[in-house]
Amino acid sequence: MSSFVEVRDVWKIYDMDGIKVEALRGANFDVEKGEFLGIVGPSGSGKSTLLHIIGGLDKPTKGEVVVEGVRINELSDEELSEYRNKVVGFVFQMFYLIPRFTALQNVEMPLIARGVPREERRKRAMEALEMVGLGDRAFHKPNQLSGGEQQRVAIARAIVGKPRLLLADEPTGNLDSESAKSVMEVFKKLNREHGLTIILVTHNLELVWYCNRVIRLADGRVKRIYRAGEYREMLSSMLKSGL
Amino acid sequence: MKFSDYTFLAFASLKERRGRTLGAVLGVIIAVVALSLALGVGESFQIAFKEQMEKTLAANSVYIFSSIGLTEADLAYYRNIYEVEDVFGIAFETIKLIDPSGVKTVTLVAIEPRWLPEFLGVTSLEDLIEEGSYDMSGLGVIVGSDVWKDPQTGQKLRNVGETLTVQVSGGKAKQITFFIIGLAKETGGIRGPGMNPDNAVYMEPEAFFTYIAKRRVYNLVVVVAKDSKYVSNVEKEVRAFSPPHARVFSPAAMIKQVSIFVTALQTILGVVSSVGIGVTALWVFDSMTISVIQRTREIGILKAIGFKSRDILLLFLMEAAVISVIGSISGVAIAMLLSSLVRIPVFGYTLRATITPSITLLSIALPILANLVASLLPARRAASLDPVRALRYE
Ligand SMILES: Nc1ncnc2c1ncn2[C@@H]1O[C@H](COP(=O)(O)OP(=O)(O)OP(=O)(O)O)[C@@H](O)[C@H]1O
Ligand SMILES: [Mg+2]
Repeated sequence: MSSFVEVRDVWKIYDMDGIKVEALRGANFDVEKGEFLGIVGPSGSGKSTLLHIIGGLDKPTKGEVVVEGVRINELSDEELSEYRNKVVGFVFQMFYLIPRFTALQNVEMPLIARGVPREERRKRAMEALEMVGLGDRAFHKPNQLSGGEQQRVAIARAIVGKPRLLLADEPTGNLDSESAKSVMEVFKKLNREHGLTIILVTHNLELVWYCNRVIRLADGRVKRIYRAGEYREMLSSMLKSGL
Repeated sequence: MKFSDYTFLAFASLKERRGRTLGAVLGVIIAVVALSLALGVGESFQIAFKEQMEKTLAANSVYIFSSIGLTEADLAYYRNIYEVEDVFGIAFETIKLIDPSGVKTVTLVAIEPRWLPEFLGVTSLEDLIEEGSYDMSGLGVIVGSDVWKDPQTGQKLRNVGETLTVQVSGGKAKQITFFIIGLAKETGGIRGPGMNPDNAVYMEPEAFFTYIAKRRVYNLVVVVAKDSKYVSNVEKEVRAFSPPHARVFSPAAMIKQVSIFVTALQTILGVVSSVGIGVTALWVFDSMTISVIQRTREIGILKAIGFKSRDILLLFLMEAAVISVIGSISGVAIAMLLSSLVRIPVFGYTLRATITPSITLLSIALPILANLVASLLPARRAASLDPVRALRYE
């Protein structure tokens, strides 16, 4: 049986004016359906790069990523857009909302790309906002919302199209601990109650308690995979190595 | 993506950059107004000139001028040309009107009454006379509108039944007194062949040759062809029969030449006005390029959530299209309004611009096309942005 997401010997080499930067050097792991997977590792270890490749925003230099049995590095530009629109949802550290649109309009955007009629997409965007607890902020512009609220709008946008895989890159990196908690609670709900598969990249080691498995990345490779019972061991090992 | 969504997103982003958008729309409006008015005035001039020419100088006629004069023998030659319907002669003499207010120079025209309508470009004798009769005989004359009323104030200076004393410089009599039998309507517009038909006194040729002229010669002979299609043939023959001092021309040929000239002028005006459209297109190009750079991150976001490259391309093209459609339609509307309100003086005519359907079409289509072409490059740059890099862009 193949896994929901398979990462097979993925390399990413950036060429900066002849200087080769190896962001990923043969990353290998699987993600099962319904998992809440954490990815930790020092800055520059290739976490974001890996997430971009899984999400179809970037292509690996070598190796392949298979999602639901589809080799996504073989998709055309147009198919990749469709993949990003339907299969995955992205949440970024910087929220990346479009300032001129209201929360509701921002959440509607993936459905606009999909050609969903106005009435229906309004309804679905409203439902997504309610799911992240922001039904009463639908007509606020991003600059009228707190950081935590903006990030929850971004989560609503990521889930409005009912994706099968949610990719979050340091979603709490710009938030205070209170807001971070509210955001993480939303992820937890989506994972536990809706069975959404989540891959969470984080620097904040406290967040690993939300995950059922954690991948430790170092120098573009998977250093070790920890199960839920092994987090204390992981934390002490990471503290020892100074990360 | 749906068409209505492209327009929604385009409007939203144009609204956000109100200043630039307004500038671009205004640019398109000005360019379109300039273009459609330039073409429209050219069109009007063409029409007015042609109408006037065809009215005053019948299209099926050939004109022979001579200051020395053409004799009855010359006229007989012309009459013998096959394809010629009729021939009539007109004699001119410069005279001075003696007025209480001073001396005024006018043209005394000797012409058979039945040829007057043809000469003045009206359809019948009834259309010619404002007051009195048109039956000129002996010293009974018809006076032109500039003679019987003040050209500036329109105040009536002379009446039917009054006498008109004039001074003839080169003629038999030094001074002669006419009776006014009719007041001619204003003919306006073009100043006929070498004279102003409003600033003239018309009399019957027999009396003219008896009392005024020294010799029985005509200064202008009009040869009427049986049909306008014979005119060029008739003109050739008339040239062959005419004495060397005579100048021959046909209005048909002249209209054609002026028409070619006006078309060329119109083309030049059109090209000059198109420069405005080109400048606007450059502005659109510039503003789109800036917009793509400013919205790099937004483009990254759109791509990350599943917008296709083609969607991004069409989104930017739609913005250019919205600007051009709004600009060019308002431009044409303003041009139409102006053309109905404002008259523009061109070579002695006062004209309203005629905005024909083809001018409308051109004025709307040209800026849309130009701006779409101008925004193609920035739009393609936006469409081909790498999503990860676009998201990282500060
Ligand atoms: N576009 C690029 N061109 C060149 N090098 C790049 C590019 N993007 C990333 N890198 C390099 O690849 C390596 C991995 O980058 P990545 O962003 O994946 O790290 P990260 O683990 O997400 O780090 P952080 O925790 O700081 O976000 C880094 O050394 C980075 O400098
Ligand atoms: Mg990162």
